[in-house]
Amino acid sequence: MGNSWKSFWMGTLAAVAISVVAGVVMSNANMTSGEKFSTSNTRL
Amino acid sequence: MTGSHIRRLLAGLGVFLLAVYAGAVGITGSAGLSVTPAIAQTGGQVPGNWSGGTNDAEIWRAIRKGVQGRVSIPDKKAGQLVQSGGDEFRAFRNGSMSVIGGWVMLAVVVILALFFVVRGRIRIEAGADPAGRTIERFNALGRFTHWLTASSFVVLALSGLNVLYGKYFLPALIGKSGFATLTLWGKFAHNYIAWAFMLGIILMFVLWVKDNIPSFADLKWMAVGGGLFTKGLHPPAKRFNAGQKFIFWSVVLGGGSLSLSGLALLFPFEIQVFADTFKMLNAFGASFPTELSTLQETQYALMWHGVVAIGMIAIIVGHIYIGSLGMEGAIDAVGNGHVDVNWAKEHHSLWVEEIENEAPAASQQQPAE
Repeated sequence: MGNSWKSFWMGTLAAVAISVVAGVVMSNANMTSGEKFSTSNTRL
Repeated sequence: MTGSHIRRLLAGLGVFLLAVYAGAVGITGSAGLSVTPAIAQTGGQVPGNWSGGTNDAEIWRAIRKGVQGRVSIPDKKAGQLVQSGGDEFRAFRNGSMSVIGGWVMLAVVVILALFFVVRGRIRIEAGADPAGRTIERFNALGRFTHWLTASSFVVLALSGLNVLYGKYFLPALIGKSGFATLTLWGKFAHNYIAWAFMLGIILMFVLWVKDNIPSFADLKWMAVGGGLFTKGLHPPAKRFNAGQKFIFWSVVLGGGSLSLSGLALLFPFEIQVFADTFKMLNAFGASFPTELSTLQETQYALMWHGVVAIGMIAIIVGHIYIGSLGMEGAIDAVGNGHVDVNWAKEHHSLWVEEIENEAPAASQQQPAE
């Protein structure tokens, strides 16, 4: 039973890692404030 | 008074009267000094001709009902001052959907609790194999995929339930500021871990679709309720029984639908799916609206996402129950990947036969040391 629940931690950590990457990609950090607050910007 | 005085007096009087007349013409707008209403001049139109024959009340009524006006800024959506469909959406979302959804989820918990009280935990009737022999049920990739999806689903479900219900009781428990912070981070978690969930259901589909195709054996299994309600009854099943196939297709189709509506909510003005979906349904005789504004698309996406999410939560609560507390030995399948031989023979006898026929010697693991 040495590897019991190892897959649980691997899967959960992978979910967290993917969500962090998604957050960085989707965040508005790479936008200028002019783009961010433009009325034509469709990002939430 | 001399004649010249009289002449000057009369001239002054004439100029005065002319000035009065000119003013009266300006006021009445009529050379004949007519004081009938402006309708005589404008034929019923509001003077200035800025709104045709429509009066103010009608204009505001049209605005209230969602007329699309013209604006000069790039965001043309601002031309619609009031979107009254939003009232109907809010009434459904905070009314029927929340109330009925809440009862559905509560009912599932109550039914499972009653089932546990009446039936108890489903044990391995032959007992665990004395020699400790096991069969590999899920390999490392399969287990990883399960937990990638399951962990994501739990975060998505909790953060989503907070969006629907949190405001009714959490502020009293953790304060308004605490609730605001929790909901903000919950929104980020929901939006970003969704991508892990989507990857998980794609992997699940690729790994397990071939073992989840419905078959006639499933009908026989369902006819006896899978043996869930009768001790000693173990209908034959292959790798996945009908109940598990139901879970698989619920996760793939329900999760897929949540993913699509979720993507429409992540990119609300770029991904719009309902107009085309309604056009397709109308081909079968329905009469859904097919010209939808971006706001209407978003509202439909929110309603659909909420309804499907509640259904999925109800189904997965049942899955979590039977896979943990409800059935002895089941959790090992996704824990270390190996299930007891007797458990496998009782619940998936046809699958065990397939494995034994393929590789009789390799079908059974060395006993645990």
